Amino acid sequence: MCSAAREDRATPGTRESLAQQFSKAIDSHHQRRQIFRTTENDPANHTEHHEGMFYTVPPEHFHQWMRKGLTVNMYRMANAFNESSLMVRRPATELIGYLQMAEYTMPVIRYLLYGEYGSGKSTSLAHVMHYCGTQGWLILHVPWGAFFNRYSRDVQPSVYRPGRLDQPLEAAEWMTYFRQMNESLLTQLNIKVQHKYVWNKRESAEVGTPLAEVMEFGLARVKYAADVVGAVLKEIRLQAAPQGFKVLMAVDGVNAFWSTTNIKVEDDRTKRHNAGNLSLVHHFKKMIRSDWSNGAVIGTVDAYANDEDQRESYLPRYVLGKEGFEWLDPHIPIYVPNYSEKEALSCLQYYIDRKWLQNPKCKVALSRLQK
Amino acid sequence: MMHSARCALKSAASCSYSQLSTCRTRVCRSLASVASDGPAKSDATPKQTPQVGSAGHERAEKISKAMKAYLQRAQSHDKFMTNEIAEYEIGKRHLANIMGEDPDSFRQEDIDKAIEYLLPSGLFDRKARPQMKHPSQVIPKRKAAEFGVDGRPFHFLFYTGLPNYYQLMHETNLKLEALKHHEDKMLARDVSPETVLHLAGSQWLDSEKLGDMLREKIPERDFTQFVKLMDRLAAHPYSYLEKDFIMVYRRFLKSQAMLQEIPPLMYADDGRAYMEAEGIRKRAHAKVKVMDKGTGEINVNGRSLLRSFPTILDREQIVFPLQFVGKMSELDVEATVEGGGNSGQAGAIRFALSSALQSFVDRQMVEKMRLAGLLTQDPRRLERQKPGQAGARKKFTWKKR
Amino acid sequence: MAGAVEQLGKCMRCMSVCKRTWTPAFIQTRTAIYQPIYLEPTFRKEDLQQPLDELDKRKYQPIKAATNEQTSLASYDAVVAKFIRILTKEGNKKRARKIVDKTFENIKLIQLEKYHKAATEEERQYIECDPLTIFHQAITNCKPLLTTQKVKRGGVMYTVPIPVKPNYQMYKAMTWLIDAGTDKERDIRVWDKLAYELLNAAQNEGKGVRKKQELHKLCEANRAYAHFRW
Repeated sequence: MCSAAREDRATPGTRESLAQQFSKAIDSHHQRRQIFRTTENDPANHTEHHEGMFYTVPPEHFHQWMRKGLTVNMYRMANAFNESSLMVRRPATELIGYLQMAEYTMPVIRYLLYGEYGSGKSTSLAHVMHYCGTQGWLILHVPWGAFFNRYSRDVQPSVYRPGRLDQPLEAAEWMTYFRQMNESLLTQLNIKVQHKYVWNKRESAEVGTPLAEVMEFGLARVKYAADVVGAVLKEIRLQAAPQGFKVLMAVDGVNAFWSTTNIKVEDDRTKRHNAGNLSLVHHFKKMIRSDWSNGAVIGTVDAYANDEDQRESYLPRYVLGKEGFEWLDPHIPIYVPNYSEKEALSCLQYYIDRKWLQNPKCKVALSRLQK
Repeated sequence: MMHSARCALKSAASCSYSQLSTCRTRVCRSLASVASDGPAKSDATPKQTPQVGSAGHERAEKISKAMKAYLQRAQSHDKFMTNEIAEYEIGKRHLANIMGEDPDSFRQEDIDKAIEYLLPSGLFDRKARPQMKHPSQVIPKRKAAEFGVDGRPFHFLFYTGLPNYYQLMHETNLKLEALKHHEDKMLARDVSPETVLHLAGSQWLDSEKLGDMLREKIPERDFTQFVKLMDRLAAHPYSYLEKDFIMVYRRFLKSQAMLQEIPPLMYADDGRAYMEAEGIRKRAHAKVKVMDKGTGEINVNGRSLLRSFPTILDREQIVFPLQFVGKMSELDVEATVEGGGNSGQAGAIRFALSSALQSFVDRQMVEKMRLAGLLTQDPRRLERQKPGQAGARKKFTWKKR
Repeated sequence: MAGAVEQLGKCMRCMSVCKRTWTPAFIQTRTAIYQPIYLEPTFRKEDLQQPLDELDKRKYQPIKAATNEQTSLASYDAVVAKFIRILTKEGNKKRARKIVDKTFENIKLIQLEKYHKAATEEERQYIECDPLTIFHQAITNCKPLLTTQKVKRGGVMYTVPIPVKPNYQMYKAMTWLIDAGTDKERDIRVWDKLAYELLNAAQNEGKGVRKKQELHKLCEANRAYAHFRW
């Protein structure tokens, strides 16, 4: 009934049924033993002991680092419960452990989170982003890779390179998001551009211009926003190691960079552009190569970021395709499973605590537990 | 005379039971007069002035010809019956010899088994399959002579066409009136009925059976009237007084609980008990294997339940039997299903699952499952489109002109 | 006709016993599919706790198959099931169920926000978070007690108030609520509007309750003709 992690299965038929455990959970809750929560709210300290428990994200952190990373439902529930709690799960603790152990003088390590639909990849990514944020990393977050492929409002031919396509509005939006996420850190770091960027005959950014000014220019002159994004990313990845700030590049649905868009080709209206033709995607792809150091690249491999006919399997090699897989090779794959029984039970206890489960007859376990 | 006879008959049909006896005599008398008297006055013509006696004799001759024909038919039927019975007996002995049994002690059950063996048939309707039964059971019974040599019918209700039926109706009505009278008396004395007539577990005979009993083919409308009347009789507070009469016209239903045979569990190599079953719903066919000592895993066509049935409605359907018997986390289910749509497939799996679950639970639980509607094959199918209409029920736009 | 149905019934009964056989895809009859002897199923476990009485006709008569919304699961509610059926358009029950589920979720979210942000324990007591309770309360508040019937007397058509049967009450309450929920702008979702309407109705406000009150007013205005019923 719970298509869950296999390691949790004891001798079949002899364990307590989920319903019995659930009833006990309700009783234990009534006795105020809150075994589903942990008071450890610092992700840096999350280990396997906290697995299955909910930790509360402080509101300021939630607003700064989790404004766009979670599902719509989670935001609504966070609003309703008047708190934002995430469950500590193994993929996240594993990743945090790797980040703590990694050697940052070496080229960046790519981590890929993969799993079935709804298993918790984005949420784990958000958890890790929280960790990186609290550790003072600079965070570059692409909330949904397929966003540029499917939902762009305005597509212009690229200013810089013919054949490519700019998405000025989306680029400006992303820059605002990036700036807001890393506001304090950016002012503190005060990065200065180390290359000259010529926008047009009259406008350019000289060497030594503050990055903030460059971004301001991009937001003011939206026409150049996509190229500004490219410049910003380039500067960040080149200066991360020398300047000593860690950078996290987090992309949810990274496989979208190698799929097709819904933008028709000018000359042949039956064909559609590949994602690689988008300048924003081009810049992000450069960021997720391992030719820079003092940072980490974490991507989520989500079949739903692909086109409809490429969603048969959730495994990375299939979802990324040959090109994408080679781009990201080598990487560390991290499997994100569905809830185990323990996690499901914990989740239910949390819901009872927050009064989400209202039906007085809910002592019977239903197939809803599968999710 | 005929006219008066006809009038008498009409009034006979409409009068109440107590007045019927007087009607009867009137009718009998008029019929008798027709038989014995001469022709009607309209028959007389100026040319012919027939004698009373010779005309009556002519009529008697005509009637007796009809009677003769009837007698002939009855005789040939009797002869036919004896022939059939003789053939049946010989055939029985031959069959016994074919089967290698003793011809003398070869009974009807043995004949049935032999025919089923020698002439297997897959036809659904058991009555359409080859049968060999005693002619008295196969050939419909005929009534005995309904009128005498003079052509006068014996039954006073002969000319209704269904004399036994109408007699039964009259009898029943008479009983009902008697019960009402009885009730009035009891009410006057302030006495209530001692007991109640319980009709649970029985049903009124269907029109065929009633027809066999009365040796008449009863039309649908008349049968409905019969059932209505009997219902009224049975519903009367004092109907227990006429229990024997009522029970003649009821057939007993078997307790549904014991009807189906439940197959025993099978055992796999690893010691797990399992049961397989099939189910159909609309156009979907499902095959389900339920295994003991499981964790409550349900797989459909190799994929998990959640992936195969994203809709909560379908999943609830499939999980219903397991939750009902309380074995959700003890049994594993492997299902294969093809055809139909989502809800049809879910229904097919549910039925197959319920059928298989019968072997895992006790009889009481099986009965509960039956009451819950889990063990009934859902016979509903798509209704066909009719000519002259857009769909099964939808009509074309109605235009006034 | 009856013969065809009987044959089909036998056909279906044989099916579970026989091997895979051809089944007709269409049904030719216009009349009821089940023979009259078939009884409605009792699918709730609480109704089956006691063994059947000897004289219970369910013991001797076959039972219809449970429909696809009838389960013994905790999530089954007869009133909600009826609501879903009325909301179903063109046979798309899946969508109707989705709408109702999302509506209840919305109600929960709205109420829980109020609950968790409430300052005092006292305030929390008055906030009802169970969407089913709110739903039932909304239905009850929208049920009309009287309705009107047109009666012709002396060549004049009068509007006569008459009492309402329970089924009709339920039907009217539900249709009014659904109409209130679907009467919206294009960009507003049904489940948002309907949640809002249900919450209002539970507080005895909103369009659904207004419809009931208008009907009651009409009946009150015409109460002089009440005796025309007989």
